[in-house]
Amino acid sequence: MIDFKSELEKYQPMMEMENIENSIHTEEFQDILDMLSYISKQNDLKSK
Amino acid sequence: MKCPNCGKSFSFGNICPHCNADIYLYNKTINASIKLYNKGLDMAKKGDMASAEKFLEHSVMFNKYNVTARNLLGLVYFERGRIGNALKEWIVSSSIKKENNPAKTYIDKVYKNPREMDKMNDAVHMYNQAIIYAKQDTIDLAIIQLKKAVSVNPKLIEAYNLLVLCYIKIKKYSLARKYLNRLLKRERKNEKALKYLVELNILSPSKSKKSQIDYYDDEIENVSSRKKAKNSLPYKEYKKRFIKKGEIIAFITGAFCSAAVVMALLLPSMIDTRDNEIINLKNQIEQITSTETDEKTLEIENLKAENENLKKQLEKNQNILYTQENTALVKEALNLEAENNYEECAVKILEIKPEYLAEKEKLQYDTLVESVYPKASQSFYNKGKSDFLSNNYNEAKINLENCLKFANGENFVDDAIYYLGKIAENNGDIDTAKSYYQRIISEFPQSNQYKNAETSLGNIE
Repeated sequence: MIDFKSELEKYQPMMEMENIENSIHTEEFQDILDMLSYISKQNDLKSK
Repeated sequence: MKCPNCGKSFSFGNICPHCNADIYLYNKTINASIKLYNKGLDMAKKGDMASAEKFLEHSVMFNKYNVTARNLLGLVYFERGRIGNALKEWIVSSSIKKENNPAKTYIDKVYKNPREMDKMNDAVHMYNQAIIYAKQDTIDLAIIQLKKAVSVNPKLIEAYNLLVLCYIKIKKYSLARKYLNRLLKRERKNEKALKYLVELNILSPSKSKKSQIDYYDDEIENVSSRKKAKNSLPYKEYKKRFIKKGEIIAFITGAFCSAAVVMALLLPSMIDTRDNEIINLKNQIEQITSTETDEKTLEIENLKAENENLKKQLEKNQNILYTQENTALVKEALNLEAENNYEECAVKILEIKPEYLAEKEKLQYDTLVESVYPKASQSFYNKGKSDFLSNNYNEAKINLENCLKFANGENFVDDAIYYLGKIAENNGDIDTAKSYYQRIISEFPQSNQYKNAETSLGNIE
């Protein structure tokens, strides 16, 4: 038997055209964060 | 291969000979991205878009510079109605690889058809709204939104899935089955759809004996046979469908409403346009009329002035002519006087108009009148009296009348008048005779003809 609420959670809003620009910039921002975290991890390893 | 660290190329091994960087993991991720792309491509070719979408998303996740996988992912999104996601992938792809990238073509094609693009975006918006309604437990509103979404964009697979789920939730299994069939016709191996199919088979006992795929195939057959049947309706049934009164009335009402709306929208602007045209034409006519009137008035004034000038010229010429004529008459009269022909001279003087004479001729004229008139009067009287006495009344009348014309208080004037009265009486012209006799009585009381005139007047009264 399907649980409606848990099944409903699988449905996520789709991207609308108005949000394309924001989503691309957010992704770029995420990339920078990834690089920063990578650099910090490398620095930690070197210090150890 | 190319070292991601220093950018230099080398033939084999996982350690760069130039910078000693270990690129083992890098190679693995690149290869994983490629393998996932290949799987995604395979699934897309088989029509299993949901699986293709998953593989390609992972492929891009492993290597975000995998432009080919990104482009294909965009196509899969587009095929499944996710316009926003598709455009995003193509935009990112075209920013990574700026030349020879088909993503640009895809973007151009989408933007060249803005109406279709808006419809797809509207469908996505309705789907998102439906999720919100469903989460708020307002399933009816969610269903309305989802039905609109699939009617606007029938490619939006997730909307079908959610619609089926909503119908299962409110236990409308036949409707759920209807939309499930549509969905599975588009995506045979859609996981969610197959799961819902199993659920529906459990919930509806009549179909429970069949396996899910068998059932699906039956459903496909049913759908296709129904479609065929629809397309090949018997003629009578077909005709009946189009002669229903309700449809005709609805059509006519619709036509009237459309016409009314069109008239309501267009008529005021048409009337305004016509009014403006009329006003413009009126103004033009007024301008033309006023211009013409002004021109004609000016022309008339010019003609009047010209006419006046001509009149003056004519008058001047006439005066000159009259002067010449009258001067000639004075000369003739002088000649007649020189010949002692006073009677003709006096008649000639009568023809002269002294106002047209020059000063010199005027003096000559006055002298002539003074000297010739008494002589001419005397001469006419003598002749008239002679004619009267010889009973030659016609000649006598002419001569006596001429005598009176040139007389100026001479002593024979009363006699001449009396004789004229007698001639008139003799001719039977009593009134004229009376006037002559009365003239003697009133003007000449001392005259020797007074008593004669009184007697003659008494005789004829």
